[in-house]
Amino acid sequence: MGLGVPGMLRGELTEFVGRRAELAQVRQALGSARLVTLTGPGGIGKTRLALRAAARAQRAFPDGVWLARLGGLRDSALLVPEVARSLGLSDQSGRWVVAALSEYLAGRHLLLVLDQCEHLADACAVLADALLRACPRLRVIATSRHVLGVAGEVTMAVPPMSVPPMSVPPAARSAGPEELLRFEAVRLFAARAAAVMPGFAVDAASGPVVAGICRRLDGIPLAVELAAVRLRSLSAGQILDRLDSRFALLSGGGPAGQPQHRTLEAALEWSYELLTEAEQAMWGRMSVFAGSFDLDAAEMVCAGDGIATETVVDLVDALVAKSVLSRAAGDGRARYRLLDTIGEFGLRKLRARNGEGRSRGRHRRWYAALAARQEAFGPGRAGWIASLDADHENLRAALEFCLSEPGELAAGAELACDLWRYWETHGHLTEGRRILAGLLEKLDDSAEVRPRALWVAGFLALVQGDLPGARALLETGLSAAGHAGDAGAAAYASSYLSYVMYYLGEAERGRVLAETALTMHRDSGDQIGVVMSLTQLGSTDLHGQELTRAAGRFGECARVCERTGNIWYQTYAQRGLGVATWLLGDPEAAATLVRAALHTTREIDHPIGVALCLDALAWITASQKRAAGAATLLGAADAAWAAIPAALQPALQGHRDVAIAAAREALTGRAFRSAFAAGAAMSQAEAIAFALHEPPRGAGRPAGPDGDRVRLTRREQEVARLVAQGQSNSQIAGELVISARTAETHVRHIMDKLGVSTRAQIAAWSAARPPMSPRPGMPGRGSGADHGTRPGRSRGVQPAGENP
Amino acid sequence: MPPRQRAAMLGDSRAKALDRAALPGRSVADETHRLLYLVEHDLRGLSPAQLASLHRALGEAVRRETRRGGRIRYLQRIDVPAELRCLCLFEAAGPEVVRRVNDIAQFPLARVVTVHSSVPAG
Repeated sequence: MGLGVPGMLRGELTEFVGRRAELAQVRQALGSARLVTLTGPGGIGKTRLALRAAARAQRAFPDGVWLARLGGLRDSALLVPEVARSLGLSDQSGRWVVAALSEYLAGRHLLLVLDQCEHLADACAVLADALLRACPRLRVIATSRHVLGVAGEVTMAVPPMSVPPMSVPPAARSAGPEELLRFEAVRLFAARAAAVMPGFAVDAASGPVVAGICRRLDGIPLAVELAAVRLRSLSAGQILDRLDSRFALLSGGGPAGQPQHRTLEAALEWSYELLTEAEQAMWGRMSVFAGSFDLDAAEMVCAGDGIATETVVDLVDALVAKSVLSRAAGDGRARYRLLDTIGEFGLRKLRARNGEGRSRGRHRRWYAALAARQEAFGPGRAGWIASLDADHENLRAALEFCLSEPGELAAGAELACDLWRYWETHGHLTEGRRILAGLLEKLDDSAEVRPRALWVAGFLALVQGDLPGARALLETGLSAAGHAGDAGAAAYASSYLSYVMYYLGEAERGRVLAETALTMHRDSGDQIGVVMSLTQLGSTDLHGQELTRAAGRFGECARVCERTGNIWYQTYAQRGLGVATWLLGDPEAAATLVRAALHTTREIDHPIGVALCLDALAWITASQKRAAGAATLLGAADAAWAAIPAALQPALQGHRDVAIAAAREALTGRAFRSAFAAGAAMSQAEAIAFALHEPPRGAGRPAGPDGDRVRLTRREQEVARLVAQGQSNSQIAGELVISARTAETHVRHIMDKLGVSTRAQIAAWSAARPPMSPRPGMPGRGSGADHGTRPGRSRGVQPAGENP
Repeated sequence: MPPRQRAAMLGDSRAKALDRAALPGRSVADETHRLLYLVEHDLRGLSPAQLASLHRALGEAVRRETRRGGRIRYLQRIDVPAELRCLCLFEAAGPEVVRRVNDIAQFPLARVVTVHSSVPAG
């Protein structure tokens, strides 16, 4: 999917200038300290420095370098879920979130960058302390405006870039260009200026002026960049004159003792004043976005009140050119991002114009519409989920806005409810539950959305294994739905409450609730509810050994799914029918059905579905006396569960135990372990291909974004990483201490193996495949950390082998 | 719990003075505003080391909140080993500060319940 795992380091879009001493300091600090915190005011370059240092250190960390951007996170209680999301993890277990994250990281040699910690300093400190104690090979780089105050923390104040000094004799100021380019701020200015004005160079004429600009801006990188890009329309002398005027206005004002803050503020004000009125308005309105956003979102949120929709693209282009807006690194559609400091400034301007409420309202409506598409079950699922994933921070920001505005509570609850499937399948259960709890606390009892919010909250609690919490919410939801005459909410509450009853051992009450739900869904014409209930009843019949009835339920479900295009539940129906068919004595037909389910599951990003299918195929294969294949499938299924992490439903564990026993009996101990290990070591794509009897993908074919393994040598992987960083062959040769010709040969071999023809394609492949790091959603295969759901060990309650 | 119910509960609890003997040591609030809060934590699936980490995180969160002027004390931990849960008792100026401390310690779903404590006579 488009952006891959959020926390993967990506190539830099602009040249990194200077900071040699600071990079050396960070490298040295990481050698002895496990937490290095880069501090300094906004705009000083902490994030760029941290990312550069992290990228350079990648070779020292076999399990990769990962970035958690925390600037858009306002709720400190969601720090761990956000860090987990950055690592491509989803935790459905309901345990203390720090414990789950610690277990994942414990066996890994990994560098984690926590970026922009200042507004979550206490939570970041507590988390860092816990992780560093539990994970001996973890290293952390944090960026913050303040020290975190963790034992063993090494802090490094990031200074401004070096600027030419003001020498007393005027003649001494006119140093030659070479002399001036020794100063980092001058080099940064030159690099950014050359990007907007090709051919620009620091020379005898421009040098003193550029030096003056850098001194005026105190060497603050962001300020220097904002000034440099103005060469598109101003001369260096004009830039300096206008800066001098702006600073003259500030003299005597501003917070005492914070000169760098005043300088940056002045630079931002100056840059703002040079914009057109529409560009200024655009800057302010865009500040309500969290993280990155695309052009469609910009048009929706920022257009109106003097900005025509068709002009938004030009305004975005203009602001990118003026370094107010950055193009976010990634694949697929263009996305944009405001630097935190620039966004804060824009927000102040927006508030000064009394425009924040309007912009946030439009922001909320745009993301609510995205969530309301509700394509969780159809062929558009993968794209919809990818969109939600890419806009996760914006969805969260919209919900936080709704929580803070009494008039937006109901809309927030609708948005939260529309996200239920996204939260469930992507493991954002804790976040979903917390947001819904906050909304329910404030929603009036008579709010129309309340019954729905209650059953969705109950559903999430159920998936997370909190049965008492789920029961309370679902029973309250059922009651509220009855009072409100909301048949739809009553049906869903009944359906999920029936699961709770089954798990609590009240099977008969569970059955009554499920049958009631099916009737209500049929009556209301809710086909999604119908297939959900049929799946649920089919599972119940399956577990109760009512096999013929189970087959009937799943068969009807499959027919409705095919008619309505519900591929999500079609996989459940096919798999359930397959298991029923197997138990009725036809393993060949059963395997065909389960493989069909697996084939579809592969397309819809459903990790639990994949694990269920692999498990089912393992049982069937074992019953057909194909012990080695069964053992391999058991290993693959085991790893698939562990990667989520989740566990096979206890009611199905018996089938697994029988399969394991059969395979062990047929094979020697060594043969069983070997086959099992082979399955456990497979990537998800390989496991699916194995289960579907597809040929393994050979070398030379382009690697897909879903994690197919292309066998590059270790050296070739290093070269691919450096190519992704934008290095030339000669630079790579210097970095790796090899000849340029050897570097060139490596690049050619990489292209042959990947089946690509450009360095950009190598970069795209490298960005999607961090070195020895887990595929999105499938961490930890063979990396030492035991997430393993070994036979019999339950990690979290999964509501159904046929998941709701 | 709807805000108006919670407010009513707080009003009731303020009217009931706490037994000073039940809370040795300096209180975080004056006599008429000492309030106790209980937070239950699910310990299922946690190893002994993780349990220790959990309690250290709570203690550190309280210390940080206190340094920033928050009025809270972590009084007691009651473990229920057979049920894999623990009850953490706080004295605080209000439930929000208890919630904030649990947020910092990464318990986003913690329920903060107002409780009353007294020592039986005799």
